[in-house]
Amino acid sequence: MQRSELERELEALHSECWGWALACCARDSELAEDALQTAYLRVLSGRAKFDGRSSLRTWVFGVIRMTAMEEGRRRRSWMARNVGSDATMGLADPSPGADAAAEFSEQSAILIAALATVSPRQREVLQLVFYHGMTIEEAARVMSVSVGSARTHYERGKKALAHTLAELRIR
Amino acid sequence: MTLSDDDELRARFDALREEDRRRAPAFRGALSDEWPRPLPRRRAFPLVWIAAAGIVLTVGIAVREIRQHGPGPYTGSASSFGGGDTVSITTWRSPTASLLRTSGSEMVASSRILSSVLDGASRAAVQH
Repeated sequence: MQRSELERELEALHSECWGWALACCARDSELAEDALQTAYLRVLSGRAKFDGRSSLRTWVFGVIRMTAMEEGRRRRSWMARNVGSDATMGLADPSPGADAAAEFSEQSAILIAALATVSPRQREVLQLVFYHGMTIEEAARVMSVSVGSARTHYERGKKALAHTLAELRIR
Repeated sequence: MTLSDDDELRARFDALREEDRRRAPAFRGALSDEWPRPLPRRRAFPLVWIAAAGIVLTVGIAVREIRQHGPGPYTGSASSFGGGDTVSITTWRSPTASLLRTSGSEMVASSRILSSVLDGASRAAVQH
């Protein structure tokens, strides 16, 4: 695939990629921007190669996920070296917190808060299925896990999320 | 988990997606040179180098001290234990060998004579 063609494809996917990058970066928009740009550069420079075994979207999501994990680790390590352990407390658990939900509508803020209560894998599969409309099989490919494992995370995550949302609604 | 729960989840995620879409940065901005914000790099305090230098220095001083004041190389001779003249290992006796000597050891030494007498008696019996 030519670079210009890849650019066009990425541009068409950009808003979805942005949503996925946010999810992978605990909704830290600054970190998500960095991760997304690094992922785009990897794709466009050919450092990450599309082999056509899955859809381009699934593959790009996988690249974004890996890049976000690396960026997160780099950020935490930098914080630990330069600022001290206190500053890394907020980065220790990459789950969306109250700060991430502060700028959103009440409904979205409740969803972000509820997503923070499920495990990272459950959060990923729920985001891929409900936010991006992927199948469990596609989600499993993005997450580099088996379909059975993704299905288990999906079922348990959905149950836990519905339960938390019901609790938050009651309050 | 009912279908209505699924629908509710889907509706909530749809709303979040719309809000995210509005906040998305421009795609062309993502490809520009200005976007990357590399973390400011501060030269790490060279603690590792200081520790390594300290270890090397300590080892160097220790080796020098041992060479200057320590015992000479072990020769393997018996004299290194007793401090006397060099003797062969076959003739060398332990300084504590006398402690092994017990009373009545002479009796044990005479067993050879007794044995020879018995040997003579048994020879005479055979001749008769």
